[in-house]
Amino acid sequence: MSKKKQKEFLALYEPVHERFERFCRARVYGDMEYTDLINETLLRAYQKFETLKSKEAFLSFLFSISVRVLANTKRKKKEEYHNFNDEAIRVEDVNSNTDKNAEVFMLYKALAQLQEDQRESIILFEISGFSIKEIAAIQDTSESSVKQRLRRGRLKLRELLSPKEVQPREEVKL
Amino acid sequence: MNNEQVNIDQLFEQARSLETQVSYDQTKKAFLTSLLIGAGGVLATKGVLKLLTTKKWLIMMSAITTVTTVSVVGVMSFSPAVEDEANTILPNENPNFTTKELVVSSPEEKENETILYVENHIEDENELIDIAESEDFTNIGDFTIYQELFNDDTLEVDAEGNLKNEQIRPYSQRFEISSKTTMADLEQMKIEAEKAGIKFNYKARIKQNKLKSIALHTEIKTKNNHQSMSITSDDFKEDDEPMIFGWYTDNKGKAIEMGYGDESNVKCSTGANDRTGKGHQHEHQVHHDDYEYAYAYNYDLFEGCDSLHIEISENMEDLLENLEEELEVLETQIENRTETIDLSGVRVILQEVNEESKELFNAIQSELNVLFQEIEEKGREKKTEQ
Repeated sequence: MSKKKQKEFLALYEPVHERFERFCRARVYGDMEYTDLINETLLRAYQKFETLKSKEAFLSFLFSISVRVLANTKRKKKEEYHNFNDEAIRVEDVNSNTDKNAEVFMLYKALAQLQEDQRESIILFEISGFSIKEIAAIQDTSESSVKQRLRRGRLKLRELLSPKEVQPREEVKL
Repeated sequence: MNNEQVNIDQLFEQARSLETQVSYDQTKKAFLTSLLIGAGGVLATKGVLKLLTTKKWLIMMSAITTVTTVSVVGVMSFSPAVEDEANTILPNENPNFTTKELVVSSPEEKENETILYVENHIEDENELIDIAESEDFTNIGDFTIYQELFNDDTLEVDAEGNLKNEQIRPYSQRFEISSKTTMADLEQMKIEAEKAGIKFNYKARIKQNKLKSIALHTEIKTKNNHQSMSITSDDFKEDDEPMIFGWYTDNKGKAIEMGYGDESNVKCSTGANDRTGKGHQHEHQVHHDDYEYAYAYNYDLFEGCDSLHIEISENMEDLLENLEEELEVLETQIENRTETIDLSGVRVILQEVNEESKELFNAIQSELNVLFQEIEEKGREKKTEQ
């Protein structure tokens, strides 16, 4: 076991842990345990560590691997996919005093309703704080595609998180 | 923004500032635990066999070697007919007396097996330098590992050293389906499946010579066995790990169960052998007062065990190296002593002993004869007196 390699790897990982943990937690909602994703990503990143050309690229290196791990997992588990109950994600009262975690939980649920690419782009941009250029590199796509995913994803999110308009009852004529 | 709409930006801000649930230390611990499997050790392929030697084993081997050497010399002396042959056997040339404790039986060949694409999932080959033996173990039940290795009770082994738990049956037939799979491959798969009695239908979408999606419907239908399995998979990408489809067969080569998945997740048509999770990684640590060692193995749920990693602590390494040196000294001493024995002298002594024994035997027999004669004479005298 190369202690030096481990030490070097963990030294690079420690400062990005919180950011990476938040990404994993938001990204895997409904798919798998986020701790599994973290661990699996770290193992793969460690195996590929020699291929990392510069330490500055470690963050996007890590995120790219986690994106790939998720894509593989998602494909394999497609048959086991469960649809979320639409009713369950409706936010009836946005001004209620729900605590912060509960609101974020609702956000995760809503994010899980988006298309995979949109969901990932939004999390990377809004929660993990990557630039559009960086996201394009992580997702292996063009910047314009990322912009489009962000725009469509936000629209869809807004739709999902908005309270459903109550239709006025038709008067019943006797 | 409409007041009635959710303030998405605010929610994202909350998500950004959310406290982590798993700390860096917890993550590090989990990572390092998992890493043991890929860590490798200080052992080279052949070194494993030597370094796993224990003191007890060394003493036992030395004792056996000594006893055998003496026995051989004795047999040579008593049996002139085998003298030439016996003279050629030296302890370290006898195949029964090696210092090997770890024996991995070679895998049984799978007849007619077709593997379309085999990829090495472990991307950094440098990490595998210390793998003990083969990457082709097909049946973990075939391991015969020296019993003392497993005395830590973390693994159930039977009297012969075979693993009792986690018996993994290799699939009789297995196929890997990836973006590289062609129509010809699928046709080959269909032929093999139908040979095994599996009804095999598929629909595949291939674009620019790359498999994009596939739907399989497979069915086993016999008098007592009816199973079917539908598998769909799409969006194959080049870097994706392949999906594996395989089946078990009976002695006649007919399929009795089907399964699909990957090395860590298998679904079976009967449901009996479904396995999920990271079952492909097993690791064990053994701690003693003055040394410790750890061993770990991987297995692919479709293929059985594929590698074995062993790592020992530095002090154990020193200890074993010392013991190994001691063994070499002992072996040299035994060899020297064997060479210096004057066999002709031993034979002369034994002949003398033989001759003396014969004389003694004759003397005893003649004395017995005299005694018998005396008894008979006394018996006659008593009869005449009566």
